[in-house]
Amino acid sequence: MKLVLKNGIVFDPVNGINGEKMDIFINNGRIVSKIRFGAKEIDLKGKIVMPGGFDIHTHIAGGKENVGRIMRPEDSLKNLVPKKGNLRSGSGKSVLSVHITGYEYARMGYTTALAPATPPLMARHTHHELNEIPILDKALFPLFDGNWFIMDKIVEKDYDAIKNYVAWLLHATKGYAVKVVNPGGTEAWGWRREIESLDDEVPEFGVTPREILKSIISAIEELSLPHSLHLHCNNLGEPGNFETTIETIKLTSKFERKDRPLLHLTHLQFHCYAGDSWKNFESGVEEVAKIVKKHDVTIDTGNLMFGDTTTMTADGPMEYHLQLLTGRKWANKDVELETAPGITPIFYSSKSPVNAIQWAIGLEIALLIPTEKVMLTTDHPNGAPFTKYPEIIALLMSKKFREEMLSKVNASATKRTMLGSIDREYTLYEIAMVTRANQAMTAGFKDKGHLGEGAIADVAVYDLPADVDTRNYEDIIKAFSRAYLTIKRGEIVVKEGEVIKPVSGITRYLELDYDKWIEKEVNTYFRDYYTVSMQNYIVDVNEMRMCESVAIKERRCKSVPIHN
Amino acid sequence: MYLFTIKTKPDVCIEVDTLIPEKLEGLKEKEVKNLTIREGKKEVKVEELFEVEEIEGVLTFKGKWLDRVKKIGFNMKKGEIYVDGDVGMYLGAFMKGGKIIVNGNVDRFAGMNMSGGEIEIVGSAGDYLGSAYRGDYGMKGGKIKVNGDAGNEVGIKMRGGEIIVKGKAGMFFGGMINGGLLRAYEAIRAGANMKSGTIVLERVEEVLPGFIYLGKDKFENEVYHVFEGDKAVKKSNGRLYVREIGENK
Ligand SMILES: [Zn+2]
Repeated sequence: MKLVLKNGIVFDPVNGINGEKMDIFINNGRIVSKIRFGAKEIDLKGKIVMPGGFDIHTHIAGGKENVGRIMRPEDSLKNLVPKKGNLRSGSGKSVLSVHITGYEYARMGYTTALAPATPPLMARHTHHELNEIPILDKALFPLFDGNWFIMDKIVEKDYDAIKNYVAWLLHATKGYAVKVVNPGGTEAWGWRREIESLDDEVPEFGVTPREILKSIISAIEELSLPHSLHLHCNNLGEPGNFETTIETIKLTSKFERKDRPLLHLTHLQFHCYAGDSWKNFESGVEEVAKIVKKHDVTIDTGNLMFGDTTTMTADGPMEYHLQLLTGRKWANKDVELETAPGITPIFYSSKSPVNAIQWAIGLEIALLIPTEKVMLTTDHPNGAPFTKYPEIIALLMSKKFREEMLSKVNASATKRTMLGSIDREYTLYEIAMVTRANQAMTAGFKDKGHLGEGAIADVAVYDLPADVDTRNYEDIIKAFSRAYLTIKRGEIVVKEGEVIKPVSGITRYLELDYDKWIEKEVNTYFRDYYTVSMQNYIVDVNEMRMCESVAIKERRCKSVPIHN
Repeated sequence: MYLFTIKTKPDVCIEVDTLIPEKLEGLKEKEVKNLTIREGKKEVKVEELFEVEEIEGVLTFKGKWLDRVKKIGFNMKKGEIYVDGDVGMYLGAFMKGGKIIVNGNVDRFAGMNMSGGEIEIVGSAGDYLGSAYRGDYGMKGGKIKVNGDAGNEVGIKMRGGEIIVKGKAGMFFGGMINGGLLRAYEAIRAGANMKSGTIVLERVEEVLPGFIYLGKDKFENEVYHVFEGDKAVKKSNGRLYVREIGENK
C-alpha cells in the first residue's frame, strides 16, 4: 500500500526534525523520499506525527506473567474486554491477556515492545505467547544472572567459554539481548544468603556480582551485540541502594566505548533510594544523575504511578521481602540452574510517604538526567501498567499537573525529593526522544524509531496541536491515550483510537556465530543437572510465527521475514 | 424507570452490569434499547435479548430465564432494582449503595465485595454469598438479608456490614473475617480463621477447636454461649454466639 501523510507536524529526533510541517511517504512498508502517483493521501493538518512508539522494557509475556494472571483473578475482573468484530476478547488491568496487550499498546501509538526478562528455560513458552500478541514487533532478552555455567567459568577464568556460551544461549533461546537481574543475588538467596554489595560472594560458587558483570559485559562487547547489557542492579527497592547503583555505573569506566553505550540500567526509579530505612527514606536521584551524566550508560525510568498493580521480577529475594512488607499473596518460580522470579500484587497509595517519594523519584529521573540518555517505562507492570504512559507524558510536559499532584499526595514527595523545585517541562521533541527514538536506537533497532528514508514505516499520529498549552494537561493525556492513527509497517492499524486491523507482529532475534565445542561443554550441564535434554531446550525458528533475524557480523537488519 | 423482560432462553450467560439505575437515569427508551450488554464474549444491544418497557416504579427484571443473567446491580451506587425470579451469579457484586430485592433465589457470589446498600432475597442464596472475589478483599459494608438458606463460604474475608440468613448456611460460614456481623440459623465450621467480627448462630453441631468458651452472655436480649476465636489466627478476638450445640436428633 502507498500512503502519503500530508501536512502533519513531524517530530523525528533521530533525523533532527523538530516540529516541521512535512509530508511522509510510505511505500511497501517503508518510508520513502517520494511517491509519484497512486498513493492514498491523508490530511493531518493540526496533528502531530511521530515514529511508532517503542518500549524497551515491558513484561508482556513469559512464565511470571502467566503466574500473575493465574494468581490475580480479581485483576481480570477489573478490565473485561468483549469480542468485537475481528478483535479478540480479553481481560486484565495490570496483567493483561495477550491479545488486548497488543491492542492497548497500538491504541497509544506504540508498535514495538521488548520482553526484557525471560528465564532461558522459559524461552519457548515466551515465544509462543509473543506469537499471540498482535500488532507489536517484539524481541526477548534471556536472563543470565544466576547462571551456573557462567559462574563456574568465572571461577575457572575461562572467558572464551563465557563468550561462546552467551552466543550459544542467545541462539538457543532465539533471544535478542542479554539481561542480568540482581547479579548473583537470586542464587545466593537460594542458599538463604543475601547479596548486598558488588563484592559479596555467591555461596557455593565464590564469585561476586562485580565479576559476573565484568565477564558478561566483556562477552557482549566482544560479540558486538546491538544492545548493551540490560541490567537490573542489585538491591532493588532497598533504602540506600543508590550507592550500589553508582558503584555499578562506575564499572563501565573499565571498558572502551565502541559505537554505542556500554550499559543500560533499567527501571532506575527502583534503584535511586537514599536514607538507610523506610523512616528516613528519600531521593538519591541527584547523585545518581551526576554519575549517569559522566558515564557511558543509558537508563529507563521505571516510573511508579498510584493504584493497584502486580509486581513481577526475576529478582526472587526482592519479591520475597516485598510480600513480607505487604502481607499479600506471593509466588516464587524457581527455574533450575538459571534464576527464580517472584510475583506479588501491590497497591501504591498516594497517602503513603514511601510511595509518594517513589512516584516523585521516577519523574525526577526523567527531568534531571540528560534527555538523550532517558527512556520512559513503568517496568510494566511493576511501577504501573503501561496504560499509564499518557499520564506520565503529561506529568513531564506540564509543571501545572505536577504541582496539582504534589498538593494532593503525601507531603514527603515535596520534602524528600527535588520534584517541586524543578521547572523544566518536556517538549514534544523530547517526548518523541524518550518514548521512541532513544528506545529504538539504544536497543539497536536502527530501522525503527525514526522516519528517515528506508526506515520501517511505523508511524503514530496524535490529535494534538504542536504548540499545545501545557496547562491543559488533560488534552495531552487524551491525545496520547488514543492515537489518531497508528501505522504499522505501512498499514493503518488504529484509527481514532480504535484498532481496525489486528495484523501480526514480527519477533526479532540475533543470528550469532559460536564455536561448536561449546555445545559439548554445555551438554554436560544438561546431562548432570537439568531435567530437560539439550535437544528439547533449543527453540527452533519454526516456533516463531513471524520472525526476522539480525546477522551480527553485518550489524545491519535484514528485516525480511524468513518464516511466515 | 424501565422493565426488562428476557425474550428467549440464552445459549450462554448474559452480563447486564450496564443496566443499573444511575446509568439509566434520564435515558429515553430508544437509548436504553441501544445500550450494550454482554452475551458470552460478545457485546450485543439490550433489545436483542430483552423487551424494554418504560414503567412507573423501580428498575425491574422479569422472565423465565433470569437464572442465566449475571451481574444485575453490579457496581450499583444508588436507586432500586426489583428482580422477579431466580437470578444468576454476581447479583449486587461491588454494590456501593441503593437496594435490590429478589423475589426468588440467587446464584453464587451475590453481594460479592459489597461496600454499601442493601440486598433482600426472598428465596435462598448459593455459595459465596457476600464473600470476597477470588484473591480480593471482602465485603466492607452494607446489608444482605436472605429468607431461605445459603450455600458454602458465606461472607469469606468480610470486614464490615451485615449478612443475615434466616435458614441454614453451609460450610465455612464467616471464614477469615475481620469485622462485620453474620447470622444464620445453623452453619458448619463457622468462623474458621476469623480474626474479629461477630457470628451469631441458633445451633451448630460443633464449634471449631480454635475457639475458647467464655460463658453465657446476651446478644440482642437473648442468651447465648459465647466463644472467642479463631485462635489459629494471631491476636484474634472474634465472637461466636451459639444458642445450642450438639448433633441433630
Ligand atoms: Zn522489569
